Amino acid sequence: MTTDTTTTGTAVFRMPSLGADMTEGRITEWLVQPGERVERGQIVVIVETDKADIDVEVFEPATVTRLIVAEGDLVPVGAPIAELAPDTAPPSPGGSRVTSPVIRHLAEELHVDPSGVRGTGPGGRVRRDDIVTAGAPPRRATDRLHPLADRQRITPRARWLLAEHGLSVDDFTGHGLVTGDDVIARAAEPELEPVDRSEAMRRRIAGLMATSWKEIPHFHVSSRIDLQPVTARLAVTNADRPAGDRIVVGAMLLAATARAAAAVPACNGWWRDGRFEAATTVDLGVVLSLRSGGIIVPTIPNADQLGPRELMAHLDELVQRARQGRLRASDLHEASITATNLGDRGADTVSGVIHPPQVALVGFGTVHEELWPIEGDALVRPTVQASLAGDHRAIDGLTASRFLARLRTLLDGPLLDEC
Amino acid sequence: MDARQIILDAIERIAPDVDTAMLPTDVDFREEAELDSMDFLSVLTTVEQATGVTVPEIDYPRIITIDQFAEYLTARQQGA
Repeated sequence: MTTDTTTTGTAVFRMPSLGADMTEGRITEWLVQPGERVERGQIVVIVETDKADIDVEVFEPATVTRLIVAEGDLVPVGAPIAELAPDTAPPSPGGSRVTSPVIRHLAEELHVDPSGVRGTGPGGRVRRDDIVTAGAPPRRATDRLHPLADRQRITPRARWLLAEHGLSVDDFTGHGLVTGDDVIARAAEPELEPVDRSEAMRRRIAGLMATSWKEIPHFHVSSRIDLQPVTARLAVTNADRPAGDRIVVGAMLLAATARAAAAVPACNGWWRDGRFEAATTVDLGVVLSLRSGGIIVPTIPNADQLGPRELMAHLDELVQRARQGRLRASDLHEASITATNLGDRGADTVSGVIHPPQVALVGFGTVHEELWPIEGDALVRPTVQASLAGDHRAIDGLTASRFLARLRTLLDGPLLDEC
Repeated sequence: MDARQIILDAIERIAPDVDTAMLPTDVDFREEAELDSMDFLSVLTTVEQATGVTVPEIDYPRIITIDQFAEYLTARQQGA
C-alpha cells in the first residue's frame, strides 16, 4: 500500500491501484484496528475489485492511528483510507526507496536523482516509470493524442479505459476530446454497473481482447521444442523430494520465458503513444484459468532473476491465492510480457492475443509425445509447441523467432543446471 | 482416517467445486476433477501431511484412480 508522510509524522494510507485499469475499490474488510501495530508485509485490508478480493499489505512497520473509510465503502484510487504512525521517519519528505540496481542504473543514465523521485510502487518504491517521468521533458498536450484516433479525439488513457469498462468510442459521439475522467464518469453511471464479479470479469476480458485484436497488428510464430532434457532433469531432481518441493514442467517453461525476455528485450515492454518502450525488468504476467471460468493474470515481478525452484514456489503461492480469489496487491504489478500455458489437458497449440499495451504473448500447448528425428532416427520424445504472438508495430518475425530460439536453448541446458 | 476419505478431502480442498461424493473411484481422477499438474502436487502434499506417505514421481502411474491411490496409501502405511 502506498503511504506518504505528512508534516505531523503520520502517514496516509491510500487506496492502491491494483492494475492499470482500476479506478476505484471497495473496502471489504479491515484486518486491523486503530492502535494496533503492524509489521512489514502484514495484510491490513481486503479490497474488492472486479478481478478478485485483494489482500493489501503494508511495507513499513507502523501503528494504525485511524481508519478513514468504513467497510463496504467504495472510494477512488488514491483516496486516503487510513492513517498510520510509522516507526521511524522516512529518509526524506515524500522519500522514495530504490531497491533495484536496474532502476538505479536507469536513473544515472537519465541524470535523475532517485531520492528526489516520488515512487508509485508498493511502499513508495520507485518504479521505472517514475524515473522516466522525472527525466522526461514536459510533453506538449498534442503529444498525448492517440495516433490511431481518427474522427473522435481521445487520449491514450481514455482508450484503454474504454476497453477495460467494455465501452466503445461510439458512446462518445459528438463529445469533444474524450479523457480518462470522461470514461470513468460514464462507466460509473448506474445502468452500466456490472451485476456480479464473473460478469464483470467477462466484460473486462472481452473489452481488453477486443481492443487488442482491433488495434494490434498481431502476427504469430511457433516452434516445437523437445522437452526430453527438461523431463529427464526433473525426474532426477524431483525423485527424492516431497511433493511440495517438486518442480513441474510448466514452471520450467515460465522460467525459460522470463530468461528469453531478458535476452531479447525487444519483446519485453509496451507500445505506448506510438512507440515501443522497453521494460527494464521482466515482470511476467501468468494467465491462470479459474475453475469457475474466466482467467486472471497476476504478475511475477523480476521473474528472470528467479531460479526454477524459486519460480515454482512463487507460482504455487500465486495459483493458491488466485484460486481462493485472494490475490495480493503486489501480485498485480503491470506485466512487461505475458505467458499462457494450456496445461495438461489443453490443445496442442495456442496463438494468443496480446495483453495491451504489451507487445508479446508467449503460449504453450499441451506437452505430448511425438516422433522426433535425432541423428537419422525417429525417437519418441515429450514435446511442446511454443508460440509467440507479436505486435508487428513493435517487433518483426526475426525478433520473434530469435525469442523462440532462445527459449529452446534455455530448455536444453542453461536452465536445467539450476534445478 | 480411511485412506479414501483422506484423498477425497484433499481433492475437495483444491477443487471445492467438485462434489467428491459423486466422483467415480475407478476412473482417472485428475481427468475427472480437472486437476492440472500443480493441483495434483497440492493433492499429494495434503495427503502427505495427513498420512506421512510421500508418493515419488515414479509411482504416479500406480495412483491413477482413487481406488488405486487408496490401496497404494494403505500398503505404504503398512510398510509395504
